[in-house]
Amino acid sequence: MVSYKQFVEEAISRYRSLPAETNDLYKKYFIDMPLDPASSSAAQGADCESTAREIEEKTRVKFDAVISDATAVSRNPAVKILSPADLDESVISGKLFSSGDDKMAAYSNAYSRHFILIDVKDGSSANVNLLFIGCGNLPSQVLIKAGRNSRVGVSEVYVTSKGSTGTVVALNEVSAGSGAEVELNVLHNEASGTNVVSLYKGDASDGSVLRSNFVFNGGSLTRSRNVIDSVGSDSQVLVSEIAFGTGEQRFDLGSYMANTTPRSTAKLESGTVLDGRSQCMLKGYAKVAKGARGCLSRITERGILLSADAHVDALPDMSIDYSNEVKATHSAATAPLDREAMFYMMSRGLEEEKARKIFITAFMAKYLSNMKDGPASEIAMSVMLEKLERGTFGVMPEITARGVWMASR
Amino acid sequence: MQLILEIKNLHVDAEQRNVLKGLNLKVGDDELHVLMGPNGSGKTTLAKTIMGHPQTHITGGEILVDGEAINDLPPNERAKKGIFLEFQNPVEIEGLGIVNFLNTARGALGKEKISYKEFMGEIKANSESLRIRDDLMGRSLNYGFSGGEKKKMEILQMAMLRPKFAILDEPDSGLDVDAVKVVAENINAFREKTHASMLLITHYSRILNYMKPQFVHIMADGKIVREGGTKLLGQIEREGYGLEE
Repeated sequence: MVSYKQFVEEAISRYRSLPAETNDLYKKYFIDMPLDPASSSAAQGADCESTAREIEEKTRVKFDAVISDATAVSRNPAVKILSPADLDESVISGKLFSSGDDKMAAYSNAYSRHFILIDVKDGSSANVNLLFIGCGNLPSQVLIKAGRNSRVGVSEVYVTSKGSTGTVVALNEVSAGSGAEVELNVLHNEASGTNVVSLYKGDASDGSVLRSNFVFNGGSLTRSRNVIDSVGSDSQVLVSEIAFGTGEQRFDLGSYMANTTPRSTAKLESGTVLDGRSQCMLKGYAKVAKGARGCLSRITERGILLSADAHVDALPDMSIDYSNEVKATHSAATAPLDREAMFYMMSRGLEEEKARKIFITAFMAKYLSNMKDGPASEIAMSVMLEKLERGTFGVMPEITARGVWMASR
Repeated sequence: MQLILEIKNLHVDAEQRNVLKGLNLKVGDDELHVLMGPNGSGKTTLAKTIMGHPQTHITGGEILVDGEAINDLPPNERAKKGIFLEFQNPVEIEGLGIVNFLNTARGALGKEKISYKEFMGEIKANSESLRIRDDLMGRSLNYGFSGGEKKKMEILQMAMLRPKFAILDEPDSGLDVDAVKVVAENINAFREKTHASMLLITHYSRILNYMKPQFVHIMADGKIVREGGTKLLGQIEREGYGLEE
């Protein structure tokens, strides 16, 4: 019999024993996140309901569940929330949680406290908005199961209170049934001082479409790992991520994707805009396995450096076991602001600062255009614009569609 | 003649090379000037210098617009004075919507405010006239466009931003025969409507079959070396530039 306490202890042990990176190319490139689940007790006295209401007013979004480090409230029967008290042996042994030789999963399990279950039945549809508010550590695991031919949209917003020095641990595990169409949008806008650990695992069955969009705007240290280890035949998987760093912010964004079946598509689009002394690692790895005839695998990594002290390591990597009838490409490019683009826009009358802002915003919009959920896209853009214009993050600005530079793809 | 642009003894360095070496040029109100010359003679550098490209460095001489020196003005201030550059190689900016960009540019140039409906109507009329596919207008600026589509988008921007002096840097390059005619007709229509002055840079006389320039200038080694009227075009067509080796 395995208790919750044993489950956590085992996770901590696993985390400590596993290597930070398994890919040879990435062994020198990672952020070693401090592990301190012992302090992940719930913050006391946090008025998260009023903070949630304030955010709802600003975003004009009614969240289906509000999860804080103190409380977790679901307002939608489709969103089921479990706490450690609910975790009896049957739940734990039911393989609800990520496992395997995965350091990031071990990290997430070590912090585990809130488990959000979204189970959409075959042929059904659901749109769910989740708000995560942290005053200290904020650990959560979101498990999304999309039934056959279902339509599911889940958008998550993570914020932490000013001065918070805890860790946001966000695990998303998505299973898209055959013929399902799933979109997951995750916005991290934590206050400075907060660390962010994000793990995403996606499983796309035959003929399904799985889109996942991540925006990393807040926090001090961010380590993110996307793992797409099962892509069914004729399925499409797109992972898009954009990190906007200022000051001393650091991001370690890694993705592992595998094409294992015929005619599957797996695309990773990673981008970063870095100012100040911020740093970002973009580590996209794709594997094309034998039997993946007619598949498409593509990794693109792009970076814009706004200051001489900012730094990006763009490290796309690919392994192809089956080369016939396969399209596999990777590319990486990093540059300062494009002078020719700036001259072009200024020649049309735009002042230098306005042209700069538009160029950066256009770069961000390229990633946000993958989001089909309009409000999620607008909130993400507004949060990044707040940072671009006023240098502030970790707060939710008034959301306005004005200034959002969207172009359809 | 009301003088729009006057260039006096202009010397310019670009890419650590002395490119323009004492160039003089006058363009009056409602005039169409053609600038031709061999590759590397400095035509595009001249266009970029007039617009204020940061990598062109004026080492001598003056550029005057309506009698005022613009040597030290940034590109956006030059645009506000009514100068427009149609780029030989327009940049692609993924994520930047064309309509939003045009609207912002109009605002930055202080153009009169018009309703959204009127603005969209103008875009539609111009894009139809230029035979630009509808779906291109919803895409990112020049992103993934063919060479011809980019050229047409430049002319559309000119029509929407209504400059009083436009530099057209090879508007015919990369265009098929039909597209050259379409572009030329739209340039003519714009001139008739606004009486804007223009400096048209080209290598080929084909586009000039549809246009009526008043002045032709031949440039070589950073200077204007020959000038004349349209008769000079015929002479160039028959004999080449006639420049000594």
